[in-house]
Amino acid sequence: MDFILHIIIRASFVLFVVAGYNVVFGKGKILHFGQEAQDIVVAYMIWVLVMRFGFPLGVALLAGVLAAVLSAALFTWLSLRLEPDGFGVMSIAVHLACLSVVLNWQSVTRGALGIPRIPRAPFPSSLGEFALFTSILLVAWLLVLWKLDRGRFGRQLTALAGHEWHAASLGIDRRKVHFLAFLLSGIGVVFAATLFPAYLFLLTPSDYHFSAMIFYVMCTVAGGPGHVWGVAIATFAIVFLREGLRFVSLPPDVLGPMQLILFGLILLIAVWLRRDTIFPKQRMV
Amino acid sequence: MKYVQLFSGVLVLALLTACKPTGSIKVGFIGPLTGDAATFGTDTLHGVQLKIEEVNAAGGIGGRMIELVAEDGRCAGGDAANAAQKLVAVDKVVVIVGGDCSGETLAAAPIAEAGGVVMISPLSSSPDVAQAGDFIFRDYPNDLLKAKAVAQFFAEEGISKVAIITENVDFTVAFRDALKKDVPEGALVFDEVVDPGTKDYRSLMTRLQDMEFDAFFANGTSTATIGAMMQQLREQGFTQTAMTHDAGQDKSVIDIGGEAVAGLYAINVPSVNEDSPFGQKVAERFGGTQAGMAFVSHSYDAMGVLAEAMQAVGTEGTAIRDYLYNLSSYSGIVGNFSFDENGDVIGIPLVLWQVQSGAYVKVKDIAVN
Repeated sequence: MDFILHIIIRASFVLFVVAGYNVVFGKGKILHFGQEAQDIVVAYMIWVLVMRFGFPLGVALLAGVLAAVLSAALFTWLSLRLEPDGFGVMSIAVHLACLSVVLNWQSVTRGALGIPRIPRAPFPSSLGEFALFTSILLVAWLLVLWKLDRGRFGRQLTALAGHEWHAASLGIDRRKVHFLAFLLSGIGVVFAATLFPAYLFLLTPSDYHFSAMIFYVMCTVAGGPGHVWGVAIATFAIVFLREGLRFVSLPPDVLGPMQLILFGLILLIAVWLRRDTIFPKQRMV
Repeated sequence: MKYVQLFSGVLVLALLTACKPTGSIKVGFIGPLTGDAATFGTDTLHGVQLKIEEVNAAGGIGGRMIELVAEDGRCAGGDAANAAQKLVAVDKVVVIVGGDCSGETLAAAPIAEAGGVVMISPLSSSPDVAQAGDFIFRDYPNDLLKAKAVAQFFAEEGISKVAIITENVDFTVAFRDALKKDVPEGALVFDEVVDPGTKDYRSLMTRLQDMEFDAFFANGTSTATIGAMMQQLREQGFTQTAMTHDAGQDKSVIDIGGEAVAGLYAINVPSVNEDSPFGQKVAERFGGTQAGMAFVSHSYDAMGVLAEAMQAVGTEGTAIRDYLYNLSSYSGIVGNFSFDENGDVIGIPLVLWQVQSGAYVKVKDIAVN
């Protein structure tokens, strides 16, 4: 039971981020691969202030929100000025730059050593409390996103994703809509960046490598880009599947690579099932 | 009446069976089995496997065989936490050997601690691990100790200007941080950090041309990176003293570096050598090491001391923990050792090795104050 609760908590942390990312990448069809940049900036902003400079958590959280807003503004600015493929490359560069700063600014971030002994608040503290708290918060977060998705913002984002000049002629402000989309992805990050290190008692840059970004893309694609509940179900399913692979009986010598291969197959199947979304059928005359 | 007797007999038998644990003893392993750090994850896994095979061949622990449950920690905190939670909550392992990366150990430690499961890391060297919990031990020397020994060597040899290149992972960064504190201020005249797995150091070596330095320290995590650093250092014509640590004391460094590693010093524990009986055993069973003999031997000893503890006090977590704290000395491949009040290994002597005529040769013992 503890393991199940643990995986629910871990899947929730992932989904906080993926659900926000789905607004940008899934719904908005913005080729954004720098989600981990927001993760790193917000997480380190919060926990460096608490652990290295002794700020109260409340103040650090406000700083984390500010970091999310600023990073959203940066990505909006870049997305408005670059072609979609150029933005995709630039967003990866921003992520790698942020990771590099964290790894090399050791006097503040402790570099590759990470920040250990991160404290937990009195609530949530136990495994059960964490599972309950994150689940409630996650459902609330998904409901907010679903409401926005079904409302004016969702329609505007869909219109922009479909044809931005047509959308502009309808009076849709691309700058405002993109900023709101990136801000939503940033808010998802604030939840995860606050809870995940406290749950692990540790903030380490090894959790923010590009492989995590690939995982977010996979969850979004498998769930149906832009579908709030589809992505939610896909994220939980994939996290449980990935952890479920630990139960496949394999000899220790081949365990790591075999799990990776099996997981790759799952990725392939997920992409195959959603191939019409990622690779639209060619128009025939 | 006959049925009552039969039922009573079965009941007594069942109770007796329930009182005495039977079946195999599950031992967990957490290490990076995929990714950049997989080379030393594989080596530490092999050390554990080798020891378990030996213990089982000798009759197991009180007649019970040891069953290894290996999990991939992927050198990441989150994945190591998942692995630890499964080992503790699902597999109900008695003890864990791991993690390798300090991030793995620090993330898995609270879970092992909460479950009352003793965990020994064979490789985490970060000073943070000392505060990871009551059930958390390591048989790998704290970086503070290794750094002191290196600083002592520099002082004895009159080396005052050191150039160091560090791979940016917790294992080497912790060592570099500790070394910085132990050498006189300004002694690290060239201090560069590179991405993990970097093999091309030529631009850094070119920059070294403008520097004055007495010694070069290759602070890599694998024989491949250390061998490449040494090759490119010598290519540029540098003849200064060169040094590395245990990650570089392996035959493959000599294979990769060739003439370039002649005279290379390495600071390491004693008795770890490919030509030793243990080294030959590793070569026979696994075809050699992937990252270095030190990693196989530390994990072999970690499993060894745990097996001894289980043999002595059984499989209850608190009893194993107390046994380890009260251990006077365990005679392992890496030397005789015990644990201090933080679970840090003590007693392992450090030795200075040097590549001479195509092999590592012991130069002297280094007593660290």
